[in-house]
Amino acid sequence: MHALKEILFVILVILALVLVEESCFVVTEWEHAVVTRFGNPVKVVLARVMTRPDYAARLALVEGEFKKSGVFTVRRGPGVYFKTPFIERVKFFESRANLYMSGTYDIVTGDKKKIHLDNFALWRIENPLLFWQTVQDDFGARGRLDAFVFSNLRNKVTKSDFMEIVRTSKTRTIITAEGKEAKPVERGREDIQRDVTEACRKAATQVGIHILDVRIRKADLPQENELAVYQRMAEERRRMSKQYRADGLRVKAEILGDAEREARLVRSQGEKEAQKIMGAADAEATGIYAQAYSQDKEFYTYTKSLETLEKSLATDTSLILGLDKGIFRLIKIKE
Amino acid sequence: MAPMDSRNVGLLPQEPATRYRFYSALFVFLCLVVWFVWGGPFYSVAQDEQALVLTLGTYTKTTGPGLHFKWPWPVQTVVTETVTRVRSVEVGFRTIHPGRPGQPGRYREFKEDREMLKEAKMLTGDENIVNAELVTMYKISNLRDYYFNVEAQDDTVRILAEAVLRQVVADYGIDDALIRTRMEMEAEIRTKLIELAQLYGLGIGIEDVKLQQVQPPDDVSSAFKEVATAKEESQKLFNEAEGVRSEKTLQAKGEANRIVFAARGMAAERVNLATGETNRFLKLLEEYKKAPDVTRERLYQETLQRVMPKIKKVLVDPTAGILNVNRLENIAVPAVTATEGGR
Repeated sequence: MHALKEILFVILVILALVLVEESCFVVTEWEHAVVTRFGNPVKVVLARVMTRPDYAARLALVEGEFKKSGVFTVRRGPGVYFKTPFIERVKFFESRANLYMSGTYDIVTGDKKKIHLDNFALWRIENPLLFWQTVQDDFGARGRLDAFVFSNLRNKVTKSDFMEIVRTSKTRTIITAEGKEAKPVERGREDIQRDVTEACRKAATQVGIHILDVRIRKADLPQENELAVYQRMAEERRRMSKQYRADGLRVKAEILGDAEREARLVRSQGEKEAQKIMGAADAEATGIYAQAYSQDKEFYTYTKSLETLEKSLATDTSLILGLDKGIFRLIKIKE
Repeated sequence: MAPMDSRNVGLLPQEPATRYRFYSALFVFLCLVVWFVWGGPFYSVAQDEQALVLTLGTYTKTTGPGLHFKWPWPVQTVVTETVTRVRSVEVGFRTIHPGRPGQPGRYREFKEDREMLKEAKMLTGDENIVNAELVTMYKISNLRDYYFNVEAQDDTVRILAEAVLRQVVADYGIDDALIRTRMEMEAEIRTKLIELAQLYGLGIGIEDVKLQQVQPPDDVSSAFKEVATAKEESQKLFNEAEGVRSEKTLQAKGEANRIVFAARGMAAERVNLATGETNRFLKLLEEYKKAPDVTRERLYQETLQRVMPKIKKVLVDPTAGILNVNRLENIAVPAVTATEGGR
């Protein structure tokens, strides 16, 4: 008897718990919830997004729309909510941003080049009811996002040049390996991303999704074009090598020529200086001589003549002398 | 009843009803323990963590390290997350083991790994290809934002880092990307990441952005090395030429100095000689003035004495033979030579 009573108690407790569980539910900060009765929505709880006033404002618009339609109750924000047990079901949706990755595909650009693209987007569920009715779940959403992103991106890419997708900004000048400025682009990746985001955002509202941003993760050349790029790069480098070598030789020749010039300049400056010094010395010596010899010009001439005579009569000079002249007269006297 | 109780000496109750009661009490107790530990009124936050407290799904507060009280589950739930730890995402390589002092780390690099190469290979703004590696360090700056705004936060940061790296590299020429503007590019990546993290409300702060390596692809690396060699050779030629230049210049300077010094010497010599000669002359002049005629004759005689012994002399007697004299006078030098023997 005792045991039976206790078993009954336990069953009652469990039943009570199930009833509580069935009649109320907790919506967390990052969730939306939709309550349905036999598949029809009776209550929608929208997230409040306390950390992002901009998204909260967008959700307020959705809330207003729901309220106007008046078919179901609309609530806002996290907390405990009630539903009729057993006949009403609740479904939760993330209100946080979700990452979408596209995978890679090749698109032909406006200038008829193939570009290898990989993209990603951030999206969040803005209208859980519409989301649920159109795409059901994240998997369904992926499919639609694939379509939105691909079609809008292709649309832009086919109208843009290859470099417009690769380059980020139209303002920066790029110096190429040749040392020249690369051809400027009229639009850059940022512009294209912005346009695609805009277009995708507009399209995604049909399925209750708000797209935060669509970005290009990779914009590469297809594998088969890489070889050509490598060849061009190698060619460019070879040209640069040659240029460096030629430049080296040119610089060397220039320096050697300059060295020659400098050496000559320095040497001739030395010579100039030497001549100046000698000139000054000559002048000084001349002054000294003039000052001294002008005291007795006649005697100077006499002594200088003697000196000249002595100097000009070297050892192997032969003289024919008359015995009737000068000192040799003495010889005659002896005769 | 008393004797029955006295039989109950072991730990386990013997009577079925009591045993059943004991087991259910134990079950309830265990449930309470589990509830207390996992959902009960206490939670602890480690030194490097922060916790978000949600009351029936609604954000209530953020708490720091320590032991805290909360309403038990299901009223309040807590989410804890390390916030002081610096997280990093790597593009183009992965750290397998960060390495310790004395032991190098192990990495998956794009050189050996096709997967990594796919990540590292990217286009530059002049349509060349480089391989680049990037490390981005970040930290949760606002745990609430981190949790409430984006679902796969760390994956998002990874994809962002990759996209931004590629986007920035695509805006530089290859030579800039390889050598010149690494700091500039890092700053640009950082700015862009901060901007996008803000846009998405990731609640993270970018601590550091480092471009680890930016290299030309393997297919063309030999051509790039060749350029470096050519550059070096060119530099070598320049250095050689500069060497020759300095040698030549120094030589010329030396020579110029030699010429100038020699000239100074010669100048001094010339002046000294002039002074010497004139001094001698003036002294002589002094003596000469005392006895002009005698001095004149003495000087003449002394000169002759010095000169005469040195020279060859042909003495001719004017009275001896007119013919001979005529011959000697007509034929100047050979005649002198002919008379040499007659000395």
